[in-house]
Amino acid sequence: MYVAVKGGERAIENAHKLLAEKRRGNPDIPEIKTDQIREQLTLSVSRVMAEGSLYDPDLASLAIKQARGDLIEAVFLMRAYRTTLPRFGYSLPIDTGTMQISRRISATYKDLPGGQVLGPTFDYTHRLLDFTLTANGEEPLEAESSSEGVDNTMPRVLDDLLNHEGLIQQEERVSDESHEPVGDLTRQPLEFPADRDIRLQNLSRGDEGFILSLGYSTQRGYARNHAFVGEIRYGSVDVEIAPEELDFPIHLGEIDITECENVNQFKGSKTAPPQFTRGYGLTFGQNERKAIAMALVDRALRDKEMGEEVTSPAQDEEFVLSHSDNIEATGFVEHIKLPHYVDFQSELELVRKMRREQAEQHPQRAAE
Amino acid sequence: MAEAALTADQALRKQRMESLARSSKQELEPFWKEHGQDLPYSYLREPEIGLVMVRGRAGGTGQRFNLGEMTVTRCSVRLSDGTVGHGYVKGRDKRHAELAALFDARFVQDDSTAGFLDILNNRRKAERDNQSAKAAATKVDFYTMVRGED
Amino acid sequence: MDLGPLTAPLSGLENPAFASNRIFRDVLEALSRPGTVVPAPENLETPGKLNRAATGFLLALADMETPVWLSPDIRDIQTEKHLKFHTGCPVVDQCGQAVFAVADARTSNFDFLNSLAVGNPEMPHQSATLLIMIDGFTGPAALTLTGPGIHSKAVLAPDPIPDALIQWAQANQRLFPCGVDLIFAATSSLAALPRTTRIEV
Repeated sequence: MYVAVKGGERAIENAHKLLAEKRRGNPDIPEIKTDQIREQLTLSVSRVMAEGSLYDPDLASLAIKQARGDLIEAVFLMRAYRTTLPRFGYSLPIDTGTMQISRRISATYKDLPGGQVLGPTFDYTHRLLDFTLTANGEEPLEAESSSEGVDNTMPRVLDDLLNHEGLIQQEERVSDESHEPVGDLTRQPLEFPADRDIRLQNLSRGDEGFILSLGYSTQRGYARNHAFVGEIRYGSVDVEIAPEELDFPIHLGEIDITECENVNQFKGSKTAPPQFTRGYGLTFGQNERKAIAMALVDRALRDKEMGEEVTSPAQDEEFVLSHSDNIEATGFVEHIKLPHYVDFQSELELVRKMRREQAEQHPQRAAE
Repeated sequence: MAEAALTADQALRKQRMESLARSSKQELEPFWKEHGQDLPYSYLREPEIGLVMVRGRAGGTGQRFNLGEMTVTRCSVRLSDGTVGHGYVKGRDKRHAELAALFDARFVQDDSTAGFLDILNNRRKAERDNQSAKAAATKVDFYTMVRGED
Repeated sequence: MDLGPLTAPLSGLENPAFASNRIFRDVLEALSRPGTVVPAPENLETPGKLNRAATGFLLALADMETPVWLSPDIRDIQTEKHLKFHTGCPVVDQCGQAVFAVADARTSNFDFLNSLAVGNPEMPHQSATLLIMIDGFTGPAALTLTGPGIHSKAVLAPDPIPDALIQWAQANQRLFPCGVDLIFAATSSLAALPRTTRIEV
């Protein structure tokens, strides 16, 4: 039961003023600008865009600043903002095969056409704190350039390389012009069983920590999936839409995305032959950890399709999809701190009453 | 893709709209001063910020799914002779969308005004090449260590 | 180019955010106080056979998720393109799929009325809103209205008012909580008969 309680207005107003002061911190230190966040905390911006399910680096930077760096609060701000805007339409499916590549690696083939392009990665760093960043600040550094660029037409590992032996599960191709509906969580509530389109949308906007832990659980044996990263790509892709008033699709701009394709060994089942199966991860911005974990969980959730027995949390779509959204989760978890005075009074009454009744029925125990 | 079916006019218009979308307000404004400064026009659809749901494909090539939204600004204008122009740009810059729509119409009126797009296209290409060359410098050159007797 | 002179799009609402808010507020007023006549937007370009009140209503309230059905006598390419261009709404062939259905009191055939969505007891909001275009509210026969939002009784005289429509509207009222909400769109004004309003001739 919820009862409106009045009287806290002044306290709330002052709490918000205090919050603003704390957000600003020591005024002797220069204020952080949103473009500094956009340019220098890029991976936070990526995460807020991915989980906010809204691609706009400037807005994400503002959200991070306003939220004092609390990324889930920033995601909340993004989700709230998007509800104020009209929807113009759906894009044509992006083609990650034509990505302008910043990074592309494969764990399954060493020498592959296009090569292993490491790009801007923390891999192979020593994870030692670099105190010169504190002492001297960042020194502007121009990265090395090669005389030739990356070949952006490089093949896809799963489709173009593994597929020629027919050893990998096929993805069902649907035409760009198809009128078959595509599930959309921002329009219809989540229902079970959920098709793969809904699952992928849910995972892509799901909480990184939650997806990471679930992905980890599948590797430790809670779903018996041994995965390899077939290919990771990070870079920018073009987005196109086909507006009502024009007879052709037009370019909107490019967005940065991270894509991960996993391959899993599969012994076969009643319905499928032994082959490699696939898990897919795709997120806004540069977010490799999330993309890999998403691909692990996507594969685990394909259990029904593969005729596998459901034994683990990561395979249980109701468990996974219902708990992946950090805005829903934080709303429900945190709401218990809000006034429940009347609820609690009635609980108090109830416990007192039960004790009285017990005392009447068992006077000896009460006396002890 | 339906692109194969485009007429030459449509293909050219699509290409030019893309160049406009890839540019910025700051880049376009001086060219508008040069090519359309005092042209009267009205809005068919005022500059408006909205969302486009970006779609991906499972496995990169399979079933379509909704990845997430992006902010987009659009505008449609009508020049005084009735020529209509449409602008769609990523982000939330209303003037950018308006300039894109104005140029889209202006190019129909006078094809020769589109020459400046080469400058923008070359800039974009230089930026992309620069990024790509830096990524290429991180490509691994595997070599095998030779061991044993010589 | 792709848009010939016959189907060249017209302008939409000026200052769309404020204008559509204004229209929404007026429609809300009309629905909350059945029989009240509210103004339609001035200076609005109207496509095909749509009048100003109907155009303003649709530009303000239709969007990608509200299928619109136009009675065949008022449906043409220009109207369809105009609505799609400004609101993104789908224009559907089956009136049963419509969230907004539009017809003209003078020219439309009213056989479609019983095919409109009326919702169901669990989801009574999944029903259509019907716009009937009329000339004005100074007709010869006045309807007497009673029900929620009306102090004792109200009078409304849509001109013209087909008999088929009145009979249907009276039956519609008995479906409550299901049923269709009816809007009369005159050229420069608008009034509403929500499903809760009892109508006597």
